[in-house]
Amino acid sequence: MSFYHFSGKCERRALSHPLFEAVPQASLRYAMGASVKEERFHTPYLRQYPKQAWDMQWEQGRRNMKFIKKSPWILHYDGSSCNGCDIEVLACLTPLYDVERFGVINTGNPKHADILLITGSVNEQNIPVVKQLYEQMANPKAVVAVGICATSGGIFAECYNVIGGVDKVLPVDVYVPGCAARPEAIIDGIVKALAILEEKQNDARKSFTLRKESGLLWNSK
Amino acid sequence: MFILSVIMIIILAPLAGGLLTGTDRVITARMQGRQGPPVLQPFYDVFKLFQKESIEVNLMHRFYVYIALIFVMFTTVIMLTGGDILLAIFALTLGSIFFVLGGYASNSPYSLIGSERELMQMMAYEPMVLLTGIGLYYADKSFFIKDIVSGQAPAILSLPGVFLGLLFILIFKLRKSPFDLSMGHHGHQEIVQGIKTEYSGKDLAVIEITHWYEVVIALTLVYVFFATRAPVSSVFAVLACILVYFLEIVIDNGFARTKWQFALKSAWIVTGVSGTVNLVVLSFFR
Repeated sequence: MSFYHFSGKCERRALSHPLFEAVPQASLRYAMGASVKEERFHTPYLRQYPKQAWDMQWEQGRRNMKFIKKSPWILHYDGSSCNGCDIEVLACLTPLYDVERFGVINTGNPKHADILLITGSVNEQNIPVVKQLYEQMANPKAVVAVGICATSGGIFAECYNVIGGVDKVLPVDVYVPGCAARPEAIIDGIVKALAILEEKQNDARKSFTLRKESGLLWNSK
Repeated sequence: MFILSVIMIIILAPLAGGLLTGTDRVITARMQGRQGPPVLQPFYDVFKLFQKESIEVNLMHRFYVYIALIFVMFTTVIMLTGGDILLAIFALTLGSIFFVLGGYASNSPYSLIGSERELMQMMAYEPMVLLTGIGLYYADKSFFIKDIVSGQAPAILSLPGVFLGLLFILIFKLRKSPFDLSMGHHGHQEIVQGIKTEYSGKDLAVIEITHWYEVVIALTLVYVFFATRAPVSSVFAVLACILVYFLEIVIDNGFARTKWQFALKSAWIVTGVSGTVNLVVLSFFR
């Protein structure tokens, strides 16, 4: 969970000037020098504070209303390779596994999705696609790499055009192994991603309020 | 007292609509041999969306959706307080138009197509909605719902054709397959999500809530056909609403989505035949 995750709100407002409207947000951010690698390894300074009493209380209050855990909407994208894992993702929606029991909806739209399921390895062709899908998702969001190709490149790792797993491009939260990953494992991965989403939501809110109090936000006096 | 009832309607109508949508999802799942989500799932979805980030595409983008919600709320209040059915229909149309403008506001090709299809759908169902209002006036000599629901005989007796036409266009209004061209209700459908494509977070939640109100409006139109002066009739009317909603779910699950040409033609043929003939016959008897 990087710092700039939650600068999202204020950045967007600042950029909603007519001059910027035609430019996609994603490319703007990258133009401004935000790199994905940085995002992945940067630990927010907020984490380093010891937890205060009010902090715990606040967290407790938040914990009671975690609706993101009850309705995770997923977006699936097949990077390359054999498509087997992608079919297993769709198998989760069938009556046998029925992930809609947990409120999971398979959206075809990154703007509605909470969890990005990526199957298959990342190659030179689909780097911009994967990045754009991730950028278009609304915060908080999580990335789940499904199958061995998505985690490390799998048997395609040696290919001249394959750069490896999804974590070379995006901050991956959960790795689901398997070739092909079994639907049970995928569901387990989604459930693990839910816990991470919850944490991200907490961090985001905390960073937002702290930054508001300390006057770091654009609209705070 | 009036203000109190208005507030109650504004609060309770989406609750009822959300519960209906939730049962819809459960019943749909059972029809497909699945267990399905909990009944309260639509509420979980909406609360989650309120907690998520809303991505602003431009300044007008979300404005239209909120205005659409206000007009749909206005329509619900008019209908449930027994107001003028014509005013309700026009306010509802205005709400739909603002929603279409919301689709046009972002330059996304998906939502542009969604908006165009939504306009086409409105073209398909609006004549029948108007005929419903006119038919109810013909049967009860009043445009006020409170007069229509306190008549001697239920309106369905003199307007069976109009009711059939209404059932047909409710498929459009409730966004059910085969006529959910502009904005599929299920995930991963219809050129991504039609008008909803560019909405996220709070704005998407508002669209959902608007839909809950619309469900209540649609079922109120059914209710009006069955209610009479006798208090027992309201029980039958509510039963009729539930049956109609169930029928729409069956239709939703039983048919594949059609092309827009068929949607438009069939809606106009049903309006022309069953609605107009009913009115013509009625005019001979009056």
